[in-house]
Amino acid sequence: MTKQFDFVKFFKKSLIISACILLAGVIVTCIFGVKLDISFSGGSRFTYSYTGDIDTEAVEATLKDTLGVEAKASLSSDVSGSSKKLVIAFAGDITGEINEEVLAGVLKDATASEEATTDEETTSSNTTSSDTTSSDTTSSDTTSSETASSDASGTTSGETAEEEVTSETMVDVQTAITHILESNFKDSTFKLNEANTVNPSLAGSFFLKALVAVALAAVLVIVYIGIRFRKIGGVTAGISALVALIHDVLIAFFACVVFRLEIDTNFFAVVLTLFGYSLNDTIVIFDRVRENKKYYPSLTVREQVNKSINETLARSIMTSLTTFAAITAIVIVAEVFGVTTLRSFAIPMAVGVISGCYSSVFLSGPFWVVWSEHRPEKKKK
Amino acid sequence: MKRNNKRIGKPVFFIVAGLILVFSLGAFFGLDDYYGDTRKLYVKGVGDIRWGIDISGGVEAIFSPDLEVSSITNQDMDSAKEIIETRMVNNNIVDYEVYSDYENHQIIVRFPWQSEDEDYDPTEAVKELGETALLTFYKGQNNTGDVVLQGSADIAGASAGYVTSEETGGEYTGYVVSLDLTDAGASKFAAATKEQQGDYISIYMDDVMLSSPQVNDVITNGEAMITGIETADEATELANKINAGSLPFALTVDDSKLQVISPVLGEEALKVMLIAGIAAFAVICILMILRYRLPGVIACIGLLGQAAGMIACVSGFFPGTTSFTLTLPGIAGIILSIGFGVDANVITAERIKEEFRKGKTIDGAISQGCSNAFSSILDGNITNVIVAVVLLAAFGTPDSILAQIFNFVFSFLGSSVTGNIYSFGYTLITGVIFNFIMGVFASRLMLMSISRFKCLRNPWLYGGAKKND
Repeated sequence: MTKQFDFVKFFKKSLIISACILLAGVIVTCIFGVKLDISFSGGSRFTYSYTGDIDTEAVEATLKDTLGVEAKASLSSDVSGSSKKLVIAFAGDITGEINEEVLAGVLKDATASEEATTDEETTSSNTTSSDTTSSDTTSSDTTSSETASSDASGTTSGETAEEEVTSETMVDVQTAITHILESNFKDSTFKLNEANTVNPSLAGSFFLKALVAVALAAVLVIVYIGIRFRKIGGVTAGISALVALIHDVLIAFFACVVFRLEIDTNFFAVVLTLFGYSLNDTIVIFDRVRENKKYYPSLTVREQVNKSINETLARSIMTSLTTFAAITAIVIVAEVFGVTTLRSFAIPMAVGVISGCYSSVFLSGPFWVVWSEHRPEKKKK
Repeated sequence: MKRNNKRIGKPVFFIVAGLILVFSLGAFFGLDDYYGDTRKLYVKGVGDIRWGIDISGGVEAIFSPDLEVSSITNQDMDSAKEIIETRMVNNNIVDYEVYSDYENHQIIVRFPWQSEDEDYDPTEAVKELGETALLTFYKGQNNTGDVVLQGSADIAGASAGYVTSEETGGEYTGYVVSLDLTDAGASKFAAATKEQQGDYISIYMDDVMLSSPQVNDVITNGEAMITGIETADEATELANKINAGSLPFALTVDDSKLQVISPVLGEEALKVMLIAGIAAFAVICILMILRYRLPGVIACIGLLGQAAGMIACVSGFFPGTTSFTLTLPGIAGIILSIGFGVDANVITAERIKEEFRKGKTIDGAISQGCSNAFSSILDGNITNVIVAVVLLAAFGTPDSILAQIFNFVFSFLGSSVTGNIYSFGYTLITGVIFNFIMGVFASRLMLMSISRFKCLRNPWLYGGAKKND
């Protein structure tokens, strides 16, 4: 028979290792802080690809001067340095903060300069950024009327179109910012990659919903384990699994903090997936325990759990390896090609998979043993 | 003790493997035929998948009414939704998604980037979608006078056209939009034109004046005409707008969310994921074959089938289903499910190894290993299903079945609109289903059948000790 590793005896050391990692995580969180993505915190974010050289402070100052809002600009580029990105972020409710007249003024500028260029081209493109909310009294406007907000040409002049019934500040801000960038930083070109604006109260309730979803999933899964393993002490099984779960989720969270990733919907997808994955591991071990109890009833709990863990170790490692391979492929490829949207998914997931394997093997089984050994003592008291 | 007397025949392996191969080819590449220019689609492949806006670029906008919420009925929401759909079709946006959330009075709109247009500006489409688009006739030269006609109660329909002054006997030659008035509208209009003879009647779309003609005759035939339109396109657009109907209330995104993604980001991402997927698949296959040899090979075939199955579920391969929106997290879900899914084969193979160590024969080891492994595989997959269901319910669209089932938990919270990870939940669930079909059922068949070949009856191939002769 192959030599067995006493996981239960190692439990104290496992606990210390885990405690250290978690403590380190807490410290790092305090230092770096945690950022929520705008889907959860509200705000706006505009991502542009640009050429040339940009100074973020200059961008922030310009935006403050023209629109009167506090913005935060940051630059990034991918590994090869070929695609450079400028990210402009506003916290809070931008539709509330921006002065509508100021915005209208900027948009008028934008339309005017658009027309200057389209007149030169003498082609009436029908989708230029002329979604002005302000009056468009230039009746020599040659752009074909797209929206009802611009006067249909040939109508009575002198009739100023009033404010649109729907004030689409969110839409206009995007146009305004693009125009401001283009006119103030003439040495660079800007192309909008993504514009995202979320109302803060909507974001807040969405965050709450995500948390509730996680709690719900946790409850359902623990209940399922409790039922499945009721013959070998369902409640204990459930709690042991829960301990491993919380451990893994925390480690995935700290991974986000360490890598300065924002907490977004991808993170919640990862958390929920880790539930399934971590529990999967734990279930396989508990399944073995249940089987061994049938065939070797004379062993103590401690011996049974140890035996089960050792027997399933090969499978645990193998599955973790394959899952890790899958996720690492995504991580590597995403990093090399600069696909940033997947970072917040792939990195915590990769870390979580390793942690999940570790917690199932070193934590949940031994925890169960220790817990069940304590309970009869408690009962006697 | 399980009686496993079913003798799986030798050809079974080839049949199963062959079926999987054909299925995979079909799922990946589809089957279509070209008659000249038209394409007849028999079977949908990867190319027919509808991509999420994070890949194709596009817009996601959440509209909420621009007025107090309490007075809005479900019917209002329904008619608003219909009108928005019509407007999108009018704008040649065909591949859109619209959902209404009755709880929070929101309408969620998603449409992809219209890449035929070089200077495409989707924000305009967003603005147009939210307009009330109420057509109103006022007495006088502006909109401060009395209302003569308004909305679909008075105006039945509109059509674009071109008139010459010879036809009408009037002064105008050019593009027009002809309005057909309802009976009520016709009589109102007759009365108003009589009153305003010599004076003006102004025509407004929301707060923008379209035209303000002088009234020359009394118009009793229930027809009106909007003149002064420059181009044919304008006329058609206006007519469409009127016909689509006016919204019961204005819709704005300012209270919720607007996201615009250009297609630049996504194209790269798609290629990247494909590379990742193939790399992951290759590495996993190598690991499996190295450790488990023959069962490892079978696992790889099973994995291929599982991947094909997931893609088929997404693309609408199966008759009666349409394409599900696949986003980047959704693709990650496919890759991840492959990593998870191989677990079924790992558990089975490890069990078989153990049975060999206990001294069983090849047949005994295989059949015992398979049946023992099953309960672990079942439990593991069920937890994945629970998790995926919660994901779908929480992060899906408000009118999906799952969301409604879990409504009691989530109802007091805001609406959830993340198509992104909804796709992930979906691929996870399809992963579980196909894991059972391919990783358990098909793998078992293949393993049992291939073990009947004399040349492959060496226990070493299945993880046992090497045979000495």
